[in-house]
Amino acid sequence: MGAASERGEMLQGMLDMLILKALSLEPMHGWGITERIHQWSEQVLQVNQGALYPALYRLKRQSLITSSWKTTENNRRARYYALTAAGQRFLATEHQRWRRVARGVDLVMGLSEA
Amino acid sequence: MLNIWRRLSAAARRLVGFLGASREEREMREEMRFHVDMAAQKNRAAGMSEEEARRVAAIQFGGVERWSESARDEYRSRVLEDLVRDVRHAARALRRAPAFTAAAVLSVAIGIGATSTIWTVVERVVLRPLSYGTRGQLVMLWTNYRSNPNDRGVNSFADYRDWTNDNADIESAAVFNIWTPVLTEGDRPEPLIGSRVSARFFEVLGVAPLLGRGFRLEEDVPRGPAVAVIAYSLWQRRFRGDSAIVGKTISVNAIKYTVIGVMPPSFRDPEPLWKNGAEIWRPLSADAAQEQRNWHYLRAIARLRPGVSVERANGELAVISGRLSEAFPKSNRDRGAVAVPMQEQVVGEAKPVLFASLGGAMCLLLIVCGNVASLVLARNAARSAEIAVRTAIGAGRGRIIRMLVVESGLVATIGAALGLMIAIIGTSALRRAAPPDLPRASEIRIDLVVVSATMMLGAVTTLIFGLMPSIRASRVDLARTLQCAGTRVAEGGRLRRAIVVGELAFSVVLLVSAALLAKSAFALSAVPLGLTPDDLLTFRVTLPGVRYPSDTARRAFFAMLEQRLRAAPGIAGFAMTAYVPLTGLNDTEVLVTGPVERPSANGVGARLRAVSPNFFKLLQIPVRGREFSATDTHESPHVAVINREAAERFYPGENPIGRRLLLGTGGDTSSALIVGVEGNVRFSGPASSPAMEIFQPSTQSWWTPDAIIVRGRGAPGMEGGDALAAAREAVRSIDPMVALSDVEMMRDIARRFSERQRFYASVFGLFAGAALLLSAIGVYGVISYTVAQQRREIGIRLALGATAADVGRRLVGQAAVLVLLGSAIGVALGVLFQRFLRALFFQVAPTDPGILAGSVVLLALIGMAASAVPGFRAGRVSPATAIRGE
Repeated sequence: MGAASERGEMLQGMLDMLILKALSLEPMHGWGITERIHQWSEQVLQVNQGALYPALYRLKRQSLITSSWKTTENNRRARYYALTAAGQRFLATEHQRWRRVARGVDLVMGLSEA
Repeated sequence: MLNIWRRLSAAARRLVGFLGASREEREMREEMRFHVDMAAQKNRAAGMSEEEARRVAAIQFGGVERWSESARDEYRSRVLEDLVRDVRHAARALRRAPAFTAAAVLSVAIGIGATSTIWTVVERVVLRPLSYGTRGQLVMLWTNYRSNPNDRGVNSFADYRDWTNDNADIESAAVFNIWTPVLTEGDRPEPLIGSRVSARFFEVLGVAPLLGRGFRLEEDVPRGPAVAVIAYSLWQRRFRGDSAIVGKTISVNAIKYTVIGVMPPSFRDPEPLWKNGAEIWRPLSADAAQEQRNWHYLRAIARLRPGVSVERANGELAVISGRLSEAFPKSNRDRGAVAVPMQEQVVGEAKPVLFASLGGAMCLLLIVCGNVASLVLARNAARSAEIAVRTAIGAGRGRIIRMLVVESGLVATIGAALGLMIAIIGTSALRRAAPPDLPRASEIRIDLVVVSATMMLGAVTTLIFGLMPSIRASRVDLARTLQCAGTRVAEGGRLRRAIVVGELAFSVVLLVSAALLAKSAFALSAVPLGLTPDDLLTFRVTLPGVRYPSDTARRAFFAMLEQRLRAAPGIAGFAMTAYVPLTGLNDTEVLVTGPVERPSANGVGARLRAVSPNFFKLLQIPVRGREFSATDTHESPHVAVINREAAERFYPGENPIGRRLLLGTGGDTSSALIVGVEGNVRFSGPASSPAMEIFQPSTQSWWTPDAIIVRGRGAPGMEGGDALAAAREAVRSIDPMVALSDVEMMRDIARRFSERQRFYASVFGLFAGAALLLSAIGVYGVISYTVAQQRREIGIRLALGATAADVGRRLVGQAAVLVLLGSAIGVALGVLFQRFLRALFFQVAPTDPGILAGSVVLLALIGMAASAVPGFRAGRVSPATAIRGE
């Protein structure tokens, strides 16, 4: 996944879901989101910046997240994104869907290995 | 080189500044900078040097421009907000080029305005079905002559009955006849236009009354009940829309009529001659036993059975009328019957002319398209540097096209909005200025469907013609454009030239049309009518039958009126007739057997007119012999005045005065002594060929004239004001219940003949004027463009010793080639186009050499003038500047 994501080929729905998940804990800026996803995925998923910001603006336009300018602990201005209620619901349904898809893919792949 | 670079970078800076102007942009940049900083910090923490850390971070991010572009696409909703921004941008760009914008917007507005105006008229008058029922074909039935089938006339009741009874093709039929009653409600009598109709009249037309009912068969009988159906307008005007009017009585001609129905507002009587349409209908109540087969006075309508074609119906009518000719040779020997579709009847010859006008408008629209395309080409050429800069800093081709399309779209939208205004104004102006014989003129009103269709058409054409050159512009060759703008040979040149040649050709078509129509109008008004219409006032006095039941009573009224009018101060001269000359109406058609000494076997059709003494003198119609006088009474021997046409037909090479003419055919004849011959008065207008006319003294005719002609004394141009007041007063003093109607100056009636030509001449004149203006802009544009493209070349020529005049001449020469080509094509197209206008031409040939040459010369002059301005200006540039390409 790592190599693929660097070329910006991560499935769009999946990227949205990951971003929303990263924000589900607390508001975070764009850089923080990449870092968080990177860490949580044990360095497997590297979100491409070129895909991240367009995705953030898109989610914002869909009112799944909001944004506001805040100061970081290092005293720098950064735009923080936070999940909205709609975003939370969307994340839940997306997660459900993803589970089904992942299971389906697993089943298919397991079959061919057997 | 350096110069261009400096200009480019300045442009780039401005552009970047503009792009970065919005708040979102600034924030986005800050956010991304923050991201790169954080990445660099992480790299440093991983042990990279400061410089290395930043470099890697930047590479990872992959170029701010690239991502910000797609990010930008996301942070707005693409459809609406992009559009708003693009429109704002386009508006700014257009404001920076006011000349281009004005020319393009005006072109589009003129094109759309003219096309929707004319299209509205065509749609309303020609294409929209008449508002009569649609079941089966609605036709009018006419009597015609086998010897001249195109000469159609009104019908006799007996013929009508035999044509339509037991005719399997005809579902229902009705006859009607003009009725001019006076509404005697209240204190002021009001003359009305009405119609006596047979019972199934409304049923045939397929229109049901709004209130009440139509006539019943038992009401349409001799001495039937006094019942009437009234028009919506009359109901509103005189009875304030009284919803309980049905069943009430109204006083008409001093008789109480029971109102049995009110027609809906959309209903229009099918008789086109009645300008404002009939407002009241009563049963015809014809007495079939009394009706004579040679009393031709009825108009007839019929609805064919569904599926029956007009051709088939005409076949059947021919068979029936053939049988009638055998059975009644006396009256029907030469008479046939013909059915004409109502739509054709109503629209008549206006159809080709209106389609020609639409063609004219389309020519104009094509010119507009050409102009817009050529303007956009020129503008894009001037902007190739800007476009190159945009491409250089990473704007994609799609983006540039979008920018240019939005610009064209904006031009189209503003142009279309202006065009709509022109159409609204134009349509109402046309309705008001329409010649009286333009059918259904009152129905002309702006049509939303038509307007939106034309707007779409205009928008699409503008977009296509704006886009075509734009796609080409977006393919700008970066390196070449940035290197130098001045060296390449004009690429869009050939296309532009072709466009301008097309524009010029269409201008010639419109110019020639306008000129031919104007010449026709002039020729028509120059034809001698055979009478002097100046200062003649005409009006009709309809006497209510109840108060004036006998012919004697009517004659007494008119004798008294003549006496009063002759004594009135504003009036000189008095005459009466049944139908005013030049209106195209005549009392009746008779078959004339010919001179008593050599009667012909078949009668020849002639028009019969009953006139009072002094008629010829009053109208200043020259008469050889004598005209009628008071001594020609009911009892005295019958006399007649014939026109030259009749004299030449019946008495070729002889003097007809003192001879006797047999009127009527077969045994049913009467003879009249010819006492005078008049020159050919054009009773049906200057374009009509003179027909045979026979005048009788009204005392010896069974037509009682009720149209009065007086000569108004007083200064010319007073338009009968005094005379009219005197006439009204005289009528009122005799009987306050009698009203005047059809008041008109004879001069206005005469003027009407060339009105159509003048009307269409002005329509085409406007088109031609607009076309010339647009073509001038086109020529100006193409030469300016050439100058811009060939600046360096011109500079070199000047440096090598060419004079400014040489340069100017060369450019004007180039324009001359375009004008010549355009004129040649235009003349050929024009001659083809004139076939549509033929119905309007009078004494002009479509190939009139004077007009063709004049149009070409005018076009050439305008073309030369339009090219001379940029041409000679080009010669004044400084060679050094031009060669450097500044």
